[in-house]
Amino acid sequence: MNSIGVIGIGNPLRCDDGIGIYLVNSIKNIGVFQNTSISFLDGGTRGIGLIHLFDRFDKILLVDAVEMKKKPGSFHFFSIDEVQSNKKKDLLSSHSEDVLSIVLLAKEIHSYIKPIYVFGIQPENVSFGQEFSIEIRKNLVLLQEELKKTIQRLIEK
Amino acid sequence: MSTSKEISIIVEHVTRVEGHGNIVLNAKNGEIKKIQWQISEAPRFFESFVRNRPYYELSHITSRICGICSIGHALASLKATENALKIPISSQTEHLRKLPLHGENMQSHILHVGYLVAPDLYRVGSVFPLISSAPETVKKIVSLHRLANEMSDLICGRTTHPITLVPGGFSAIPSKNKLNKLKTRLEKSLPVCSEVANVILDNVDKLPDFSRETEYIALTDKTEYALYDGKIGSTDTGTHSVEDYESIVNEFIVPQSTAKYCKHRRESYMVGALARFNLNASLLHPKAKALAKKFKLSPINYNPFMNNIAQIVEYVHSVEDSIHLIDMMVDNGLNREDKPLKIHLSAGRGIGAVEVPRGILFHDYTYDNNGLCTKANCVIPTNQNHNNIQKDMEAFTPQLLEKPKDEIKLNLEMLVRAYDPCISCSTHYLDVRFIDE
Repeated sequence: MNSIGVIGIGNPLRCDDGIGIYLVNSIKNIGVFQNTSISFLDGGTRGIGLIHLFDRFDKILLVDAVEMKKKPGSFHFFSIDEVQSNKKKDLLSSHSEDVLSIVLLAKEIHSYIKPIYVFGIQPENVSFGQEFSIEIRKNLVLLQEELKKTIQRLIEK
Repeated sequence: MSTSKEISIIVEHVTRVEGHGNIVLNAKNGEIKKIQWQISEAPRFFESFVRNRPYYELSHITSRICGICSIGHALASLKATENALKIPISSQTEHLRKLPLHGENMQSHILHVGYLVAPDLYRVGSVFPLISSAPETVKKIVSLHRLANEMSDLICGRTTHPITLVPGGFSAIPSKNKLNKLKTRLEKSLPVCSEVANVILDNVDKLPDFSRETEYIALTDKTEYALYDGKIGSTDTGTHSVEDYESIVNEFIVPQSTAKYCKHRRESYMVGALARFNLNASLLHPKAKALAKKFKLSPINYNPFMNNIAQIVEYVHSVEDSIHLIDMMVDNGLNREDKPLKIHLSAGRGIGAVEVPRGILFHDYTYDNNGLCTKANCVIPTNQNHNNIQKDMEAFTPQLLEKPKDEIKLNLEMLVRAYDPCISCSTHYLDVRFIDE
């Protein structure tokens, strides 16, 4: 069976930017995917350190707040190959993080291109703070359910 | 020959460093009107919000000061707490703590040199062009970075924000089997280190040839290349007790920076890998010493750009010392039941100093009788380097004025990158009193 890494990305101290980690931890704690080949990881703000996670699994699902110009609290599932970053990739530093640049770096280094998917949640507010915005809070249950379904589809794919 | 041109350079947010710093240069007719290294990061108030927190929380809170040096912060914090509350540690704990400190040094140095400095040597904007021009080298750098991260995972529970480091010791200790596997990986990495070092050596002539006599400050010890413990060493004034750190750092405020400046014997001083090398090179392990010789790096070297070469030398030293530490702990019989002793609370003040990748770090805590922190002060290595960066810029810039504008800009950025600054960590809280007009 293919191994799948479900990796929450983001900063829990920046309001909606923490939604990825929250969702991954909540699905992990429910335990519905216990005894499967799914691993749930907190990618946090690891930056370049994320590269070392990418070659551990056959498939990767990143769960993160993504600016998609959509309604806050909505979600979208896509392959990493379908998007381009709006951030300058030259600004790579040990602390700053453009996940798409890091994925690109990982793909070019490892040459073998693994399927990398994103469960992206449109944030409303990514300023400093520990509370999700109202739109995110309203949709938490829905987001959890949709993430579970997405993971199940990846298992069956 | 003076130049008649007018030069105005503003670099907002220097790239390939952590945090935000600006470079401003105004020059006319060969005369520099203004050269400034400006820091605009906000203070983060760690020293305020640890007040009234219990002693067992402080290392977990202060490790969040930095994602790269979180282990170093945790260890400086634990040493300060242990000194304040008179908590003893075993010799096994001391040896085991050195391993993740080495791991942190390794991962920070290889990341900095490999991803952030190497593009300058190849005159490209980022690491991305290097993937097509030097793919095998980039893969080796990634593998060395991964080894260092996984070393910290093994000892501390995770790479960033360690879990197993607690007052008095460890909450969990890895098995002898896992340590031996780590040792095997470290041994296999040495030839890879050498190959990466050779690539840097092939390009070392791209580093500017600039020197300015400077005071260097780092931990120093008679028996080992100090990272975890020692006295404060200065190339100007010899050794000092860690308890005297305030008379060494002498922090002060300048208008262009939200981070404080420091000075000791001279206008400024430098900390970091080059400082450690200049003070302690004789205590490096053999392969590291041989590598330094290959790079023609010998103490005292006054070229700040050689800080990155010192980082590569330290990477190799950390691998060698880690192998030595594992052998020692396994031969002595690893005791996985070595747990912290019961802690008896009493009021006290303690200072902890460790070397983190960017230099000497101080944590200073005061506790009350209930083990609650009443006062804290953290002096970060990059904080101590800002003044020296400014002084280096003032001395280096006149040599650059004849060059094209893009080259001036690149050289000044390289100077900042040579220090491997961690800027947002360095802006710690300012304690001010308003003077009535």
